[in-house]
Amino acid sequence: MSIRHGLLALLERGQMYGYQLRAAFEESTGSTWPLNIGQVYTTLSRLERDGLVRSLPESEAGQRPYEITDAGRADLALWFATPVSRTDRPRDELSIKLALALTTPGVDVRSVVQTQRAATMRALQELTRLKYASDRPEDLPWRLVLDAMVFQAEAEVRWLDHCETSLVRYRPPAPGPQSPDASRGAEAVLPADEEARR
Amino acid sequence: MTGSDVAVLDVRDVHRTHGTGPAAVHALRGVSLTVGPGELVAVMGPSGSGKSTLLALAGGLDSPTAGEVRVEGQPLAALDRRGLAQLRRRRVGYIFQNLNLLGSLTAVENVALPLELDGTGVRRARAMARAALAEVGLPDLGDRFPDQLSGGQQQRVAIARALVGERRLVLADEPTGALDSQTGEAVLHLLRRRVDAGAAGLLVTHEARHAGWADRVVFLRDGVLVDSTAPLGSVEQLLSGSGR
Amino acid sequence: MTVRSGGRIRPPAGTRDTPPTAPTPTPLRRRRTAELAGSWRTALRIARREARRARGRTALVLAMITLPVLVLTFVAASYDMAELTQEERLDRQLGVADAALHWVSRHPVVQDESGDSWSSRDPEPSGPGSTLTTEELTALLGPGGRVTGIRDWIPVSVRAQGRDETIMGRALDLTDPLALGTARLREGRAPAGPDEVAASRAALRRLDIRIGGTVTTGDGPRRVVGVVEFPDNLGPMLALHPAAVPPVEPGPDATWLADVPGTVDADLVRRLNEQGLVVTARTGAEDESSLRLWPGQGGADVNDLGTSVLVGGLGLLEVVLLVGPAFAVGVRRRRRDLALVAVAGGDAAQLRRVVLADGVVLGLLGAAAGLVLGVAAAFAGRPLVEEYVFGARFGGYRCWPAALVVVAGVAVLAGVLAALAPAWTAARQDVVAGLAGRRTPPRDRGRWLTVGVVLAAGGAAVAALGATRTTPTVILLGLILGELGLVLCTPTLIGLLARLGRALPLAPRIALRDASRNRASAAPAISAVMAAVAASVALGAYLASDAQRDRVAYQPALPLGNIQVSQTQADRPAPPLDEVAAAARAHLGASAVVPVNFVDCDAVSGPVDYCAVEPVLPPERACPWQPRDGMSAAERRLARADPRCQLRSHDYYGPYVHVVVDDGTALPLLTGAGPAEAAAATAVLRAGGVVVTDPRYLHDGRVAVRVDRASVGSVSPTPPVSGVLPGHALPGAVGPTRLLISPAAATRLGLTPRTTSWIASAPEVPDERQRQRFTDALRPYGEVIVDVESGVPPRGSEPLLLLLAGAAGLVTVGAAGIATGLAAAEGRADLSTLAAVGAGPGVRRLLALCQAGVIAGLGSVLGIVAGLGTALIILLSTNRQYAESWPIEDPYPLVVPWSTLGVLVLVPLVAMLGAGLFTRSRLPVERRLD
Repeated sequence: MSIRHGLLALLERGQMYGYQLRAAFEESTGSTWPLNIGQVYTTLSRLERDGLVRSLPESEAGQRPYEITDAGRADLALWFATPVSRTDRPRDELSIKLALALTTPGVDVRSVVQTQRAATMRALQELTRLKYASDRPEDLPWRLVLDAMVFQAEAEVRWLDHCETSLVRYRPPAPGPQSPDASRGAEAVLPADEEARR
Repeated sequence: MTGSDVAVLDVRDVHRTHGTGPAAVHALRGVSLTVGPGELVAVMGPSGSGKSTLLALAGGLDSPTAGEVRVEGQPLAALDRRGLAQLRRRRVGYIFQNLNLLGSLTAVENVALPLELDGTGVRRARAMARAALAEVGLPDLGDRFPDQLSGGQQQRVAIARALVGERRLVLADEPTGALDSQTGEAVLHLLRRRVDAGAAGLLVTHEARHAGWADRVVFLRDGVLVDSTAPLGSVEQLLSGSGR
Repeated sequence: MTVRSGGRIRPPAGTRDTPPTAPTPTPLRRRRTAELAGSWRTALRIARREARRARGRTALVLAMITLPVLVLTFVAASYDMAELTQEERLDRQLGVADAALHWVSRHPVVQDESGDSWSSRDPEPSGPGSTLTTEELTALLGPGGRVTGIRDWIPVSVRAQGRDETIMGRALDLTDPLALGTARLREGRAPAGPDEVAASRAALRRLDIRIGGTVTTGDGPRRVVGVVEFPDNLGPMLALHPAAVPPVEPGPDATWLADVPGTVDADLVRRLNEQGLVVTARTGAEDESSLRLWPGQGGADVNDLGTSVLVGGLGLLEVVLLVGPAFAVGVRRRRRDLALVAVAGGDAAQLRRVVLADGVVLGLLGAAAGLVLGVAAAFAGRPLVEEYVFGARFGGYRCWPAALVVVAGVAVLAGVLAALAPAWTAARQDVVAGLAGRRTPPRDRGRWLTVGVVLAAGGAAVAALGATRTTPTVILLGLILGELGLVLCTPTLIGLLARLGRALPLAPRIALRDASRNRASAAPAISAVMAAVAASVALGAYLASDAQRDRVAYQPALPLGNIQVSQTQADRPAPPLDEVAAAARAHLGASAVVPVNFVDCDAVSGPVDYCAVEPVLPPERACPWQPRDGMSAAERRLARADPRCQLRSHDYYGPYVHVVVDDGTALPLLTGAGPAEAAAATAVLRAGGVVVTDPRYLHDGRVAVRVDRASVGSVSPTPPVSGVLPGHALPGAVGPTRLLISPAAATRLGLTPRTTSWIASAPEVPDERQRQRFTDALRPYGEVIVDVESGVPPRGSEPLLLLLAGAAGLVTVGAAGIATGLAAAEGRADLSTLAAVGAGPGVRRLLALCQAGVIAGLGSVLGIVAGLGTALIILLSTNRQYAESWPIEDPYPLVVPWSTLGVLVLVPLVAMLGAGLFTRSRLPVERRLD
């Protein structure tokens, strides 16, 4: 996903100038993706360089509208037709964090999980609340974006639930010759959890 | 009694054990929970965590081994079975995952059921039931039997029944379990709206997406409340991050 | 699932790969067989498991199949044990003796092999015939032979503990081992002389005495010295000493038991036959096949057989209807399983088989249990059955395998038939709906309704036809057809009622709708109640009508409350009037006692052998028709229209006219005539005339009387004497047609009055004790018979009716219980929902009460309607037939059998209350620790 294609999609509706583009972008993504005007102009100049948009003469108010070129339309069509690959997305910080927590001595992994789950749950509640508040038919694009985030958050909560269950059942490897300290650390946390469960 | 400062549902350090001795199963071990008016609380947890037991205790269908359950300040332990039945007729509405409706009664009759059981005249009970059905978007299907309704429609009839009259507490046990996500969402939407109108709601679910409709989510695991979210804050917080 | 597949549930080995276009027919047939066997195997396995899983339902079905099988088996085994084999019969008759000799005639006879049939040897026996004494008989047997006499069926009038009883006696010498072989001496010793008797236990009970007690017979007191048992008759019996009875006369009761030197051979039999003795022995008699009058007793009556088959069919229908609901519920609970079988490739036939297998398995189990229990009960209950039912000891322990096989077969048939309708439904169900656990709503099948209505109407027509022909088999057939028709109509009716139930309160509304939704199980239960109630009501209405008809037709013999005392022994002197009057006054409170004189012909030429006195009907008043078989309809119509022929078949006393010689004293007590009428009649009698109670005999103020007589020994009968006498008619007289002849007229006709009875009029009908005291007072003059006119005798049918109603009630309660129980099992989810929305604890009770009410009430109402309709059809048809009969038959009145109806209206209420009381009021979701 890129701002490039977002702007191209907006210009497909008709010619627009920078501030208009920014406002339209935020409107259609439900302000979940705020843009600053600098980003808009940088992107526009790159698009012009690649021949995907064309700048039009400045208006009397000093605003320069842009319009999409045929090459830009082709690029946009290609973008819509190509699925988003998982590998394209940024690496998931949370999973890395949990993996590290589990191997770092002295860290209460369950509390990490629970804190994260509460936060995600809360986000989920908030997203749901936003969705609940926007039930006009014309809000559909916005609601779908929210839904995407709702489902992502739900997946994360489910994953965290799964982690929690796994942690309950987790038995650290028997104290071996390699890293006795680390094992003891993990043990120090987990029996306490077991205690709490009983 | 029913002032806004009093929690509609107040569960205090409740234990529930099935059986005795080594075969004893501890369904709940010291759970405390309050639900105020206008509040929807979701209870999340995997199967067997004690969610349904908690709900049964809240509705007076089951009684705790230890601890106390109050509905609108009234301790349930002080009521006999007749009193509990009356409580369910007048103040508590139940929604289950399925098997919600009596197959022998039409939709209107199902909704009117608690009113009729309570002695309301048939004519009046049916009028109220029709209004409740209209509210859940089924104004024209009142004379159909459950067999002739889709799953979502049946569930909406069940909600209408749980809310008909002046119910202050709505207990829902996986109300969207058998429904597709759109229909399920519509059902939760209805529930949310009723809670916003002043009722207290307790929603048991194992799906985070549904729990998201609640004001507060508590996590139940093996009979213990392990965690809960703080009451919901403002919408702006959301816009600052991207879901984390 | 209509795809024919090679037994896809469990493909039989080796058949799977046979292509559908198998070239030769043989492997195809083999494949079909294997497929059939495989699917039955699977179905039976499923049924077995299901029976184990649903214990309560299985027990219910088993009980309902087992009970009738048990009863039938018990009856069959007991009957078979009671039926003696030829050998056992001989053993019982002969004991240790070699032969039984029955002295049947004074003339030579020929007999068949068994001695059951005999005939005179000579067509025209001549001469006085032989006499026979024990000594002569012993001589006939040859040296070493010995006989002992036995006489049976000797009525003994016994008086013990102040009561009179007549008990059958058997005269035999129990001290003789030969005679003792036919009896068992249980206690005490054998009577040694004429003043001693032995009695059976039943006789001791009847007489209320013990060993050592004394009974008084006509010949004086006798001491009871022993308890004897005759295996062929366990009723009240006395064993008398042979010396206590008069010497033997030839007849079927005179028997000797003989100990024969050597064997009984044909020669000996012939010698004994020569003396008029018929021999029953184990060997020796020659078969005179010409004497086999009834070879093999002939076949059973076809009509009886038909009736019992139909009654059995009705019972089968009842069992099927009672068991059916259980299977229907089974199918409903296994909707999903059955859908899965369909998904796995089961076709409709295989699905049906799965359900039918339930019927087979439970039918077999029920039959087996019933057979085992029934035979065990028959064996265990043998002494009681011997004593109280058959009154005779059985031959041995055995059952009747052929009958038991039939019974078991019928039980399995009942199971399969009960599973038939559910099986059909199961095969038809929507697979997708079944998988989703949804139910396909029942459809009203107009076709079945049509069939039902047609059957009901046709059955009524057949029954009506049967009633006009008075063939019970046809009536019964019609009734069964009609009932089947109603059974088929029930589901539609329930559906209609459920639609009308909208305005009802909650519990009855739910109950009615449940019944409608679960028609497959509710309809048979309702039908079962209906069938039982209808049968009971129909029979009740018929019997009530019959009783009413009898009451109307009843003709008292005397004015109400009057007592007639008759002397039975003609050779004894009659008690004087004073004695009778005194006794009647003392014991009966009688106000008037008069003698009644009957007539004897004067002994003109030797003793009178035959004497008949009757009034003569003027020819123009006599009916020209004689009642006979085969009168054409036209003749009957003419006869009915003829005023002279108003002959009723219910005239108790027939056309025979009772003749009495009277001067007017007995007339009021005999006929109940009022004072004025009596005075007029008495005047005629005083003037030497006669009085008749039938005015048709009076012609121009005169009555013709004719006397026929014959003297003993005279070759030709004496010509009849007739006299035309001044007469008077008493049309309103009570009792049979009487002719009262004045003493003067009697003398003119050559008749002698003889006092044989007295009539007393009591202020009220005397009770049993008064009568007994009165009889005792007259005892010195020999035996007397006391007849009391106490009005219409009570009918014995009331207990039978109540029993029937009780049986119908039992079926009602049972069916309601079953249906309610099944509904409760089915409705657990509904009850949970009810609890959750706040139904109080009583709601479940109320619901059960209403469910039972729907089944029992609806069934009873339908049954009462059907039963009354049935009775109406039969009675009207019979009346229509009677309307053309001659002699005239009284029509059956239409009477409502209130007592039966009362019981049957009460029963549903009891069923409802029972269901309410026995249902636990706690709703299933409520789990309280208290």
